[in-house]
Amino acid sequence: MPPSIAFPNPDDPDFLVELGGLFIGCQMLFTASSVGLFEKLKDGPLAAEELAEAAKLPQRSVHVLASAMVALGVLELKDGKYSNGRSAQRRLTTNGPDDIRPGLRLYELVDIPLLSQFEQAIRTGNPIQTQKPIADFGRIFSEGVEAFTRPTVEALLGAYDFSGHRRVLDMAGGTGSYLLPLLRRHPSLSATLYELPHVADMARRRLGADPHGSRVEIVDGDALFDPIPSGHDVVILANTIHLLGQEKVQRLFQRLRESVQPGARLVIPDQWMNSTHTSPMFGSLLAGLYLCLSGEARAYSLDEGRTWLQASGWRMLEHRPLYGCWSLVVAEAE
Amino acid sequence: MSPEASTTNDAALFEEVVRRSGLASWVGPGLLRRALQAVGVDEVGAARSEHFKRALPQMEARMAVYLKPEELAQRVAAIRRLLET
Repeated sequence: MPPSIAFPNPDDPDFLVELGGLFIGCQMLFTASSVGLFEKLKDGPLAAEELAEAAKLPQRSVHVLASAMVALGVLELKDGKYSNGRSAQRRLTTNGPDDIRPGLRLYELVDIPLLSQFEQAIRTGNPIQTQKPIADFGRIFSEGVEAFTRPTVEALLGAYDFSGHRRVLDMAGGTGSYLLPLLRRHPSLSATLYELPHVADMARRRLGADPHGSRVEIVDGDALFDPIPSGHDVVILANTIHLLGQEKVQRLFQRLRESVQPGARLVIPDQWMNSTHTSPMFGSLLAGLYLCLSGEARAYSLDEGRTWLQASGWRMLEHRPLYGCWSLVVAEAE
Repeated sequence: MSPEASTTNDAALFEEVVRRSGLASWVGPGLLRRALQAVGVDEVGAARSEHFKRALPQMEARMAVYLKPEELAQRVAAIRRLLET
């Protein structure tokens, strides 16, 4: 029998109870991943006792966890044996091409503790500081964001033609998760990755281990304070503006515009929202997380983006969907 | 004090300065590190109280991009108190 799970329906009497209780399912998903439930099922179906033995867990615990995962549609149950559903097999095991487990760790170890102080963020408008040691935070944050954005990177490479460009600036480029696939696809491109120093260190290690990494110059600094290097004909600004307040977004657009020549392109993959900030739905939820992380940011609407770009000397050329709640804005320097 | 204990304490000092800066976790460590670099300290683990004191004007200038003036003054005062203890 197929799983009966659906996102809580506003017309159901239990709507708010189920909506409020989704955190239980989230925590069970994180735990199922961290105890290796999906990994143990990657090579084929297992009965509860086999799964318990493989995962070295009490059988009763496995039964509770696996049953909930079946109910949520993450696992399947057939003839008394559990198996990974398509998403779990693809994204929650080492067999899958799109392993998002680092993303789940980001949710569990950084985002949930931050959100536990959400009321404070709402009341004060100040960022909530993570209790994780700084080194752990940086690593978990970068690895998690990279895991979540991998499909968006692939979609970007299909949606925007970089072949006419010669040097790309990846502003706040993390550990190179956008640049490396881009450079693999376009052998004549060279690149600059600009990041804050603690992330730039991670980028150096990551890019140093990749043959295409030698085509990337890493510059560390704060894009709102330090000089931005010139000589680029395309700038990628991915997953950054939603961490900045409105004035800082405008300042960043302005500084980027001053760093390039007319005709240069600005490529912005992000969660671009509708004018009421209510769609895409997941973007609305992430806005709460961004508020905790920065105290002042949100996922911005396309209208806001267009206005701020125009005021900074950029002309918006197009907006197109990428993947999930991510879409792409392309602008040109006037 | 052994060198290892010193490094641990210095790292704890860095984390406490980040905390008192009020800057978001994703940006604070990087900004403070840039400020330390500006006064010749490239290794955060080696930064001591006197280094942070020297870097304070640079830290304040960088923090001003992210904080409102009133909060900036409070945060800088809190860091200064920490460095004077």
